Amino acid sequence: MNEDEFAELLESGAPPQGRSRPGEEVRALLADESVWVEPDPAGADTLLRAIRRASVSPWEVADDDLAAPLPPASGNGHGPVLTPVGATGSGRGAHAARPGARRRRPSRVPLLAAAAALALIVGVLAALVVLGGDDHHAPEFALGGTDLAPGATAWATVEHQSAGVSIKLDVRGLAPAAPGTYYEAWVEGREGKVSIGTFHMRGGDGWIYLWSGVDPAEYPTLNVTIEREGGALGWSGQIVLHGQIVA
Amino acid sequence: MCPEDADLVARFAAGDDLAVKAMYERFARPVLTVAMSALGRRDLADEVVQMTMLKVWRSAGTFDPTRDLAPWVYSIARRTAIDVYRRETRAPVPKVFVEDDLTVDAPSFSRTWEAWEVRTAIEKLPTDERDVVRLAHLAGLSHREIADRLGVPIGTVKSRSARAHRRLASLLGHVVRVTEP
Repeated sequence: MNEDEFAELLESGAPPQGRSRPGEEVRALLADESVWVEPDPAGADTLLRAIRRASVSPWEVADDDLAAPLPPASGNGHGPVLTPVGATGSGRGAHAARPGARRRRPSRVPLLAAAAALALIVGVLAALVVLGGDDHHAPEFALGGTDLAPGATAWATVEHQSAGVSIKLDVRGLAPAAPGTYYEAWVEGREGKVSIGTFHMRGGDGWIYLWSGVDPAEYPTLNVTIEREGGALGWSGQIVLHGQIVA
Repeated sequence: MCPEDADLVARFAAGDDLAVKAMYERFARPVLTVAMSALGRRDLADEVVQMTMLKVWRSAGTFDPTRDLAPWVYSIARRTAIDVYRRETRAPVPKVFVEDDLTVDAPSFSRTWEAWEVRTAIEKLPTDERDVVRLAHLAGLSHREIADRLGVPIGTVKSRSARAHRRLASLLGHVVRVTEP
């Protein structure tokens, strides 16, 4: 089959004569959704953050971590158990971008050296945060979607200010709140729950700016719930995002 | 590998923002295609894209610049898809991947490679031609229906279709030769 015949086969799909003709599989692929599906438009930025993070902490992209299974979200509204990854204050890694991914102990000897280097970096960055360092070194942590929002994730940045604690959420994959409802963020500790802001996501993925007047050290859990307009004020218990604050 | 690719890989290895985005723009689609055809789940396929690109970055410093870039990225993508499949199913690897274990299954191997090549070829089409090919093959529309959908004369659709398929035949000729019995 020459190139012209191949082009004709691709375009017209002329039926085979006698036996399967070469090129039909290629034509079949053109009708396969897998060759037309588009990647996540935010994927390049996610990759960039992962690379920046990995440049600081090689642990974050260890093969074992990358291959770790994702535990299913629980059905009670309390989603995957999250492993904070922001103690160093660095960016989001591929592993970190998937909250709930199981962590494994690095098994490679060179990682011991990396661990020592990491500990030094942690110390330096923590000092910068305590001393009011810039936003790039603010503690970060991940939130995972629950069964109510299985495709949702968020990356949170915590910054202590004179007026309280600023928590910025970079929310991805959370559907716009249905008419008559809204999202509410809560911090939770032994003393109870405190609302730190509401939002609706009707403008699509993006940043949410929240303020907490209580100390995250005393209220270490962050949940986002669905609430109903005009309903009773207070906690609905319908959690869509869940995570542990690293502050 | 062309000098531009060697430079791109070098800058990618260094974490240069533009190079990272260029690598993602160039390879995310074919990697996603391989992952989708192998795993059939969008969430896992998205994960394979990120894992693959990260592994490519980690390995970029050791890449042999005399080799072609695409087959190397493909091999990493395929291996990553296999790893994710194993992780998710904890079951025997499907036949499509059997050559990775003990035996070689050439038709199965060619399937993911062909998917990669077809996706890469599609991305090289001009947008107007790609739209016609997508509507014809994926949506199953006739030339008349495509003309109505795009708001252009049917003659335009026919000429775009002919050009696009000649381009695809040229870009994918080597795939056909590989699969000839």
